[in-house]
Amino acid sequence: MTAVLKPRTKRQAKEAAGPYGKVGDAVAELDERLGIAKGGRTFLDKIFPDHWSFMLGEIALYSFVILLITGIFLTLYFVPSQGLVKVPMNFPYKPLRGDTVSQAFMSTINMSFNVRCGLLMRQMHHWACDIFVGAIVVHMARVFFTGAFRKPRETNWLVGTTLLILAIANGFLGYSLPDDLVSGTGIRIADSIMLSVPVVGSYLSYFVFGGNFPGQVVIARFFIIHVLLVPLIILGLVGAHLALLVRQKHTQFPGKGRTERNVVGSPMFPVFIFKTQGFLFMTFGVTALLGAFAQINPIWQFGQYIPSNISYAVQPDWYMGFLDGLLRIFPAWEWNAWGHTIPFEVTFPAVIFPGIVFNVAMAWPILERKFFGGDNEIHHLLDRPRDVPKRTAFGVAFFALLATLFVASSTDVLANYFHVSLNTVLWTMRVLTILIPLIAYPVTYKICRELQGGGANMGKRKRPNDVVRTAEGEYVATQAPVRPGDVHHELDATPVPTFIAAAVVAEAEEVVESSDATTGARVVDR
Amino acid sequence: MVTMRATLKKAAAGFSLSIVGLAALSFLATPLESGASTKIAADGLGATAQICPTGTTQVAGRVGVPANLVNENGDTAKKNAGTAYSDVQCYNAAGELVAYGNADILYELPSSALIPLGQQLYMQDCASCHGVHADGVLPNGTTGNYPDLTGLGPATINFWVTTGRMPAANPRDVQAMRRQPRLTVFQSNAIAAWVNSLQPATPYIPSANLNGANLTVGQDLFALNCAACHTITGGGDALASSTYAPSLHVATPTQIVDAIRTGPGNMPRFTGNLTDSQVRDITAYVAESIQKPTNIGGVGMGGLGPVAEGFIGLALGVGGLMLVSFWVGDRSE
Repeated sequence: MTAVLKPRTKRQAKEAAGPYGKVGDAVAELDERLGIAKGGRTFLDKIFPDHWSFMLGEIALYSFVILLITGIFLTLYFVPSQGLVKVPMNFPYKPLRGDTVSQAFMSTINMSFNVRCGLLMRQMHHWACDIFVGAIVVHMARVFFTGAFRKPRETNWLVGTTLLILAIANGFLGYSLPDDLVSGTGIRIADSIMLSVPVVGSYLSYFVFGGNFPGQVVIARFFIIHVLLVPLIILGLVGAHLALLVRQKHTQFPGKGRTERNVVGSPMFPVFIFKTQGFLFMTFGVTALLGAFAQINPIWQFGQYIPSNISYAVQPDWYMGFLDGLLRIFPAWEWNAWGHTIPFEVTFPAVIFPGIVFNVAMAWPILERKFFGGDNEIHHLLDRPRDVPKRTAFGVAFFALLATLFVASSTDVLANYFHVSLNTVLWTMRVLTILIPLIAYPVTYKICRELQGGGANMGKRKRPNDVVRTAEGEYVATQAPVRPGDVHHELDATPVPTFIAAAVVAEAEEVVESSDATTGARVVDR
Repeated sequence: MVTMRATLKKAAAGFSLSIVGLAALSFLATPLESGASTKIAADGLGATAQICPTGTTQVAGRVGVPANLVNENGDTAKKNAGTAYSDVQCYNAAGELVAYGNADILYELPSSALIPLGQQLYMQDCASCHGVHADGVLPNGTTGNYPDLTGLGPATINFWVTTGRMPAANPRDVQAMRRQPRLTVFQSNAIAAWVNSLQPATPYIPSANLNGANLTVGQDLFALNCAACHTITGGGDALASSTYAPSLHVATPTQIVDAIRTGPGNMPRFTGNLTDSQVRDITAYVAESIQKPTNIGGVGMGGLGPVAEGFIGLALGVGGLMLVSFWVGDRSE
């Protein structure tokens, strides 16, 4: 009878609403129809080990979200056509007034000057792309050096590497769309690279450009690949990447209470979801700041692309830098045989070399097993890089090679800035490209071995020695007692707020208040 | 206890919080470009207008030009752009050609009254390398080490001296660097007057009339003729073997025309393929759009393009976000 009475006090109202309130009821309704509770449980209980380096992949994820949002805005104004139009005489930027330009270029400068927030969106899109690829690389480095790619996570490593390749490819395609002098030069180089492919090169080039370079179709084709095909594939692969992550659960650093059979960390709800949301906003913030205050790709200063025009000091975006670098420093080896030119000077740096780089990256889990002392066991606990010196040394040498080539992509800027002969810079980079990886490997290996000697006291604060003179005149040194604060923070798990911990303990038997695990951390079996 | 970790964390937190505030600001900080003021072309001067300096006689049309002042390209106006074979010639009372040109660029000869001063300055500052006769012959008879200056025209002297490249800081340099000029424009004109008196030649010292220049033509021609070495943003860049294309950001209009018409160093001399009007347009484009670039997108980063952008994107973008992840991603203490 009391249930139908109108509640008179707040307390009565609360009791009438039941333990989960109106929201709970609504969710229950949904659950009855769609069965969301099971999946929701998995999602909300997903455990995230507490370490800042585990957030790096999220930079990539959220910059991809920014890319999608700003990209959709840009498609509202961009005209993917190489048809010619005249810039109106009242256009704000004087040196373009009355010029004949392509619609792609016109629409891009128009959105830069005449569309509210257009330039901000363009610049955010471009910065987000630079950050996207950068975050993928940093994330990949974390996964590599800690051995997170090992069995059973090789599939996810493959997915991630594919994402990197797609991100780089789409970055290049997007960079090419405005049809300005600099991007046109990039397309011209892409054409040369296609032409350098043995046997099918000229057919490939004719196919892509619909005839001779530059043709009339390349912008429209790049556009649809850039805004539809590749983003769809990336989106799908990101989904697969995350699904595998949930399915296989996170790796974790070794530490108190952490074993191969459990995951220790903060649950998605109520801890991690707020962290990650905050991180999303931070990523937006950084990108918006860069977009607002740091100019990127001011194409009005470059002008329309005309094949006969060229500007010196043109580089691609940073993630293509290593390819451009090798193209610049590679010797001019070109042969003629049986009436055909073999342009090895382009084929090797631009076709064969990236093929090697990405194949080695993809095949690394297998390569490590075969040649670098890896095993075939299942690993959920991460390595400290020093503990696997061969892998760490190889990774450092590999990155050093790419970094050297990246620097080589600005030989002219270096020569000009430091008043050194361009030829000297060129030869220096040729030598360094071979030398640096060869030096990096043994040096890293040695450093790792030395660090391993640090033993159990690594990361702990040094304890002073108390030297005491005994009555016999003997001096005895004893280590001072441990003081508060002399603990290794990194290996302690996050304390969960007490009210949550209490609820968790009361609710589920899966939560083990292990004597090893720190108070409040949630421990889940794999 | 202040540990490095705690300090780092505070720095990361401070950085992250400042982003929130600034990001909100940034959306307000991008106004629409207000309609830029339009300069209406005030080209009232035709070939017949009085453009000669006062006290000279203006002769229109290409007649009676001293044969030694016409270059070897034949007699078409286009091929002789920049030489005395121009729209208008100006003669002084003594019958000397002291200026020529048109409404776009007027080329003037420094006053012959400066010749004695010029000789004095030349002997002081130039003769030790270029020789006492300005022919590159040193007192001991060696030739070929330093350029012969005779027959080059006053514009050449004007370019090298007013940009501070001459007198050379180090005569053995592969390429003289631009620096603070050691001589004034007046002194430079005096030297030019004396050297020209040895063997009269063109081009004279130009002054471009930038009013009414067409920046659109200027940009198109700049992209076609200049950007391949000087870069499209005019920053200049390294060429082979320690030579380089200098930055255009500090060049004066007269120096720009000097360079185009005389081709200093490695630069080609543009005479046959650019009319005075086109050179004027390029000069205006450099003086207005390149030296004062329209950086509506924020900090221009020196027009260095993707090198600077990649650095900012990786250091501030990815690096900054790594700091943020250090703040939010690690567990609380």
